[in-house]
Amino acid sequence: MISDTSQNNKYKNLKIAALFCLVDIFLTGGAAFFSNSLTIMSDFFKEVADFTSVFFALLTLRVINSHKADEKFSYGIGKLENLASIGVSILMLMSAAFILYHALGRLQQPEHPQGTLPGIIIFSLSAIFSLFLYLRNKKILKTQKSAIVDSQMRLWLSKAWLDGLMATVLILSALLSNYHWSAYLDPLTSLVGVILLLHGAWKISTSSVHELLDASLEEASQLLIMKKLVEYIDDYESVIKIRTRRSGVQIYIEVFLGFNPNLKMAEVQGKIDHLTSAIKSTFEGSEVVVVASAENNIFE
Amino acid sequence: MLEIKHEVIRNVLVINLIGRLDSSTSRLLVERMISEELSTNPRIVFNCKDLNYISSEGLRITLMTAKKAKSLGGALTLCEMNAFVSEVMTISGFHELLGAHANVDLAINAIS
Repeated sequence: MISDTSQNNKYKNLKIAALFCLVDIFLTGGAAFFSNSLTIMSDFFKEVADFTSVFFALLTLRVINSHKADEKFSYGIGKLENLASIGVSILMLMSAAFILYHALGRLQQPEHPQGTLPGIIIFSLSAIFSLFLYLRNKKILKTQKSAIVDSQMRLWLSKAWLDGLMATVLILSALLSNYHWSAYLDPLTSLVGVILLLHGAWKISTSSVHELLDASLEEASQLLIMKKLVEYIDDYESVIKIRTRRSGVQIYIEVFLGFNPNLKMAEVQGKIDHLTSAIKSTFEGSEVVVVASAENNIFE
Repeated sequence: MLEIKHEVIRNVLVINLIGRLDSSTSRLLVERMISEELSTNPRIVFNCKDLNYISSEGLRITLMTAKKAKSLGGALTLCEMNAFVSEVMTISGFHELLGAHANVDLAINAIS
């Protein structure tokens, strides 16, 4: 089961990210207004998209935490994380389209970026803080699987690269402003940023869609469950059925076994406990239930 | 689709599995194993020469057959698996549990 501490870490992480986005929006918006720079204005709109995706993820996590498993959703509503991740990837796609549109326009009519100094400061600080958020999310992901944390990690990595590239381009444009071709640096670098965003969005959406569509564990994992049953083959008499399910990133495994009716319940429970531990060790963080079933052996 | 043919060679029940053994076809194997007098022929060879695919549900039925055969003083072994089926058996530990042989004769010798 996902611990409360893990959930709190995810929540805290998203709140820090949302606060950073708000500060960035304020700074970028102000810089864009005073400098009349298209580069910074573009970044302002991208920041708004980033804040929206973080806020959306925050709301989703809040809903998931407040909605425990009940009669209607017996496995909880963990798949909402996957839906939220798809939302993040869509916003990343929209940001990429926005940047691509402006980059192509700049390639056709190149001009040197304005507002260089505020832009360099904002993009540099943003890149550093995005990198910090990427590393923070990466650390959380090592301790537990989470679609939201994975999408946030990819978002902040793309953003760190993009802002770092933009800061570099602004510095180079300022240093090389005497050269006409330096006007192409900004839009060309933006295209690289577009590729990074598209790659990040693709990674998020493919894994989230797969987890949304596939309700039970994939065959490769089912084989590992069978392997454990083979290892403990002498502990039970029959394998009645195996049920598995993914809910978001959480795995649920139920194994129904027939036991020797002459055994005492304590002995049966001991065997159940061993097998449960063995399967849990194979699937970290999973919920495993081994049930002594009274259903008939198929060969009886 | 699963087709099942059987023959008894040297008091060993050889079950030829043809096609796919998965959740939609495993019931066929169960019904055949019950009807083929498993109790009088508890030594069984699954000939997998024409078995294209086996799923975890197919493994479950195989496991149950092996346990039933063992409880009757017999055993179950496998032969002539293709690369995919062999890999599945290896990953799930069935290779080690049941044994795998290159052909039917070797499997019958091993189990006799």
